[in-house]
Amino acid sequence: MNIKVKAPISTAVAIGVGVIVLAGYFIPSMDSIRFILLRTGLVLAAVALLVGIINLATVHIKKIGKESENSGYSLILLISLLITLIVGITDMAQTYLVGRPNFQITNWVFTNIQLPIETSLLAVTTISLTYAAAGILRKRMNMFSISFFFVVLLVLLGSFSIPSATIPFLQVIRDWILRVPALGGARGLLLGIALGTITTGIRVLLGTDRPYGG
Amino acid sequence: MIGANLLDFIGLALGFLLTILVFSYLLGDNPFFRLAVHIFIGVSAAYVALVTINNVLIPRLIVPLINGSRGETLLSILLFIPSLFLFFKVTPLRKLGNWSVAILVGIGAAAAIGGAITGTLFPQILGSINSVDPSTYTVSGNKWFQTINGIIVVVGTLTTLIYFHFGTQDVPGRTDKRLPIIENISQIGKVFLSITFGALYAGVFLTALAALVERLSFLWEFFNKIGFELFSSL
Repeated sequence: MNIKVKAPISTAVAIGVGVIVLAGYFIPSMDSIRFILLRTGLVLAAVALLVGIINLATVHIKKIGKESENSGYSLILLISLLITLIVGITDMAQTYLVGRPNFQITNWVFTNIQLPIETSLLAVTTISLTYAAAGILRKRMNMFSISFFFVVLLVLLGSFSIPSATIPFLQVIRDWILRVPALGGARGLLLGIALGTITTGIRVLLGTDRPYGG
Repeated sequence: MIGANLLDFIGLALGFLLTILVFSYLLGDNPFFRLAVHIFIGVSAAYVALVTINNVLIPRLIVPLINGSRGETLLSILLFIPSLFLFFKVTPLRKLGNWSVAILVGIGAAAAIGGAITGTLFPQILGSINSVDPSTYTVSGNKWFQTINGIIVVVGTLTTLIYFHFGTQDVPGRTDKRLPIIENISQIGKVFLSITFGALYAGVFLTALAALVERLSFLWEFFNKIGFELFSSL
């Protein structure tokens, strides 16, 4: 039988490193090695994030070159990315080279550009969520959609904290829903996610899944 | 002082403009909304990069390399090598970065397994056991009521888990449906799931509503501010 393993070095590295980290959770003497490797993972994840941002910039630079319909948006994205980076790096240089911690301009960009867009996007979802909740009974009338709709309604009505609009009975029902049936379902979901994570992790550590180009 | 005030006003006006651009989505997808979204992606990506450099790379990679002990310097040099190879992933020589990604994936998989076992699996199973264990009930509450609630929680947990069991037996001549008992139990799980999703939906809705109220009050304040400025200049 001829078994050909693709990328044997990468596979061996992933399995070896993973087994050491996993062993560190259960063997106390290997705890320090686990911490060193976790720190390595943290730094590599940070670098991978930077690589991702470089990739984002590269994709949009290519889009500008093609002069497509959306190339203007790509240009705007790159300009906002570059300006924020320049501002931040200037602030960082002032902090580390001059020794004066001052992230005032970076904070200004965050407070006056990022925060308003972020909050507005969340605010716009209120309208979408209202439409979706109203449409659920129109599109699909069954036991599950009815229970979903009434739970949404009861939790919302029970959450009012305006003294004149507060109905104590609804608050008791809301608390019970959140503490009992919703907790049961959420616990089932969490356990399912945990079991799925463990299965996927074991597949990676056994070399069955090789999401690193193997 | 005037400069600071001017900067504050520019920030306020910028926030107002961006809020209006995003709110224009209520009329349908349009170029103004896309413009705001692309600005958001650019600024967010840069901000995330800055936070990563400032909070992770400088204290954990650069500082130990310059000011650390001999061991820390050595470890930082060892960390530098896979970090540099990771940058090959955005070049035509991307295969050279595979082993760095393999380290990341190996550590990530092991940390995910460890985290799922110690952080979710054991605590949630313990929580389920405690909900039907009379010794953990509160003294002030009704014991029967607590027992019934505990049973409902456990039934909800088990039926939700069973709902996600999609395994079937491969028997010739039979459809690939689940066993009837699994199918029936999963219907109960579906009810619990709909209740859980309903509760989560209401929570998200309340959060979005709070954001909407905050944005509307911001717009109101901005109009007041403009009115005040115009009034004072007259």
